[in-house]
Amino acid sequence: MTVSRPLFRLPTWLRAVPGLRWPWLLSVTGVCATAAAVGSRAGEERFLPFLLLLAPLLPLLWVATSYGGKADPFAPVVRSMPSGGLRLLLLRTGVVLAYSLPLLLGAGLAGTGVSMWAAAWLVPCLTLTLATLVLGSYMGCLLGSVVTGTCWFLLVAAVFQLSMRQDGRIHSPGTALLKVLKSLLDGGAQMVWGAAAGVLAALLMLRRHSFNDLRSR
Amino acid sequence: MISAARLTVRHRRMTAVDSLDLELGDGVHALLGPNGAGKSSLLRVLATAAGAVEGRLTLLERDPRRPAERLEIRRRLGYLPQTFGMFGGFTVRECVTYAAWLKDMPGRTAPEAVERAVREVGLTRRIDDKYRTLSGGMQRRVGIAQALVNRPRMLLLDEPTTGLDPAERERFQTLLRHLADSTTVVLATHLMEDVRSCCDSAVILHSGRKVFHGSLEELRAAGGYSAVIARHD
Repeated sequence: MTVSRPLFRLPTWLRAVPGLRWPWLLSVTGVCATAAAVGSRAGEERFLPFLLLLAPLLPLLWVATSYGGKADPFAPVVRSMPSGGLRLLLLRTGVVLAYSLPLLLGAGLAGTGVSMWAAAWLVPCLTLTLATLVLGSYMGCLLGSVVTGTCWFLLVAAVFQLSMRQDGRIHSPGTALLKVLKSLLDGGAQMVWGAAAGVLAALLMLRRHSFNDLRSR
Repeated sequence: MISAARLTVRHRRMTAVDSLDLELGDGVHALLGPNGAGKSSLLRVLATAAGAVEGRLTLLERDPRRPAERLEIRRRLGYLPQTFGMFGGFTVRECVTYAAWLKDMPGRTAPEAVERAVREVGLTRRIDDKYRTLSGGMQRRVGIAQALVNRPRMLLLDEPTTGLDPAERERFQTLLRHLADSTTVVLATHLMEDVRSCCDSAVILHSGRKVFHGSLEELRAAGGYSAVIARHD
């Protein structure tokens, strides 16, 4: 019996990334396309707060679900394999980021036009993703992503409250939120996010062996 | 090859394995016990997929608590858990190739090793069929093939013959007998037929404690599995 094989197949390790299943790909692509369409009609003032608030979180949630035990039917065996720890996690993170960052960037550019704010979420996104991985070494990536996402919202809410008190002027919530997010993601803040990413990357290397046991899934 | 002293494994507050002392060398060793006796928990710890809370464990003359040594153990390990799953869209070849990749096998030797492992479990004719199209017994055989692909020095199998037809079970037993000369095989099972046909010794766990360890002759002399369990109920 002859078996027809496709001319090109992705390597098995790449096809085994749970985040690259069709439902995930379609939903993330759909979310980004919808965001781009809505953003181009709504205008920068209305679209940018949503982009800056939510874009840093989408990749980290995707990363977390790409490594969780439930998403990977082979996970019970993977835990006992030499490449099943941080190496696999970083590979899957890289694949997810390689797919999601250009999509989000495209959505940002479509919604806001060519400006630095369309990409201002990039470094914070990497920092929050690294924070998720570090937390994942203690509590599992899925819970780590929930904690990181909650901390991000709390940080924005805290700065929002603080700026409202200091400013005193009455803005619309959207304008106030945009002002807060811009202060959290402007040029100076980007340096802080970058430094935090460096520290978290070092921490992740220190915690690398913890991905070899069950707690990190 | 496997040496444990006062090994204790806990799941949250429940003690799954309690102060286990165990020495196993090359050969096929049956791990027996009623449901909930701690067999799967012990296998997970031996597979370095979970840690013990107390005691000393040496696998293949290495300490699994040390990261570098754990890596070396894992390269020489084959493990089939009780619940085995794979990506349904993968072919049999891809399933085993993925396992070979995760086991750090060199890319040039992996294809041949994959074909050998698939041949050993009798799935050569289905090698390009998708995992989801296989019967339950065949899927179990894919699980066995992924465990065998790196020619492991230590093979841990949790109820591997579940769903296998009599002919395949016989083939599997012959394979284990063949491996016994150079491999430490631990076979958790409820099937005494598997134990009688291919095991050199038996370890019986009951409520997390070892209640018997000896050859099959010694087990017979002790009245058999049921008698040993009944004495500790």
